[in-house]
Amino acid sequence: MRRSQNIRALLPGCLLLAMAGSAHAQFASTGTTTLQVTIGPEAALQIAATTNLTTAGTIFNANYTGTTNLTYKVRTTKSTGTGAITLKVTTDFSPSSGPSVLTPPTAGDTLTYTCTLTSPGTGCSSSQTASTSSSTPVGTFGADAKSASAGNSGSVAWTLTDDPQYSTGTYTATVTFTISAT
Amino acid sequence: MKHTINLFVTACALLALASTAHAQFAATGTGNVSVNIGAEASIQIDTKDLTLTSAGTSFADYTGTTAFTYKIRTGSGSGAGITLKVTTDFSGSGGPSVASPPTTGDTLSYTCTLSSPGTASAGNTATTTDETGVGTFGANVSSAKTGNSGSVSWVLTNDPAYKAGSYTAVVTFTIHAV
Repeated sequence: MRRSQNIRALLPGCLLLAMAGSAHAQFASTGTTTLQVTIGPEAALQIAATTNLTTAGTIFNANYTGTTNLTYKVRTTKSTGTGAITLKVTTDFSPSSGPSVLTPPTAGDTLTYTCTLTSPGTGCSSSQTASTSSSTPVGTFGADAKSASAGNSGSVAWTLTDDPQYSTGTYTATVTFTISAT
Repeated sequence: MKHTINLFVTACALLALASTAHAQFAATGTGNVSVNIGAEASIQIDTKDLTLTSAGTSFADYTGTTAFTYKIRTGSGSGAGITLKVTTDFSGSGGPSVASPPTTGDTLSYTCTLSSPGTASAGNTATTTDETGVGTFGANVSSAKTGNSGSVSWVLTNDPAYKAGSYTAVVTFTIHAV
């Protein structure tokens, strides 16, 4: 008798436990699940490996010019995000006796550039002078900026002073582009 | 057959890897900017119109100086220099002439100065047929960015045979770098 009473007391608890288990793992002909993803700001770019600067003249009447093409991918935060592309001359022209960004042979010799950036980017508004010590602007992005899946294009058009003081030869500098997004 | 397919698959995989290595997106990207600096030269004649004058009335020769500024960058070769040529002889008949002077021995001669890195040529007689030297440059030299100076001092024989009047010739300077 006493044993029967104990079993009756346990039964409701066991039933509740069984129901709770079946709510999680219910078999049916259809099932749903929820997928969640948080899309954050992101940016990447790709630069043409080498840009050759050339001059159209032979009488010191034209500076050395050339264009570096780039492709960028960007996504900025919807209402408050921003983004930017900058560049810096991370290795000055070498070998010596030629052009130099840091220590040009004549004051006023510069490596300058202008920028173009397809929408949603905005290219730098005026001619910039490249530097070995600080990053200089190439372009900016506003809030909710989104590039194409394959990326959008941009370019930097270089102008290097043609100074007679440069010895003849081939000189190479390395420029590092950086893209960021918030 | 199976071996051939395996080789083909491996080759395709290598090609795919190579292509991604070239076209990789990243937060930063580097590119090289290269420039080939070549030999180059230019000249500017600062004395566009020069009037030769005689110091006296006793048939002292007519003299005057043409100033110029040159820019140059030479390479490892030799033969760079500045030359001049009378490209248009004195106009008007009866006056001085470089090609056919009224008296044998009448000349338009000159001496030169040329600041370093140029070396002035020795004095010379201008002609309408040949380039004559003003100065030379050695290998691997360069002028200042704003240019360096030089000059040509002219001496035109004062021949009584010249008819009174004004006569003009055109002299063309040429600079070349190697």
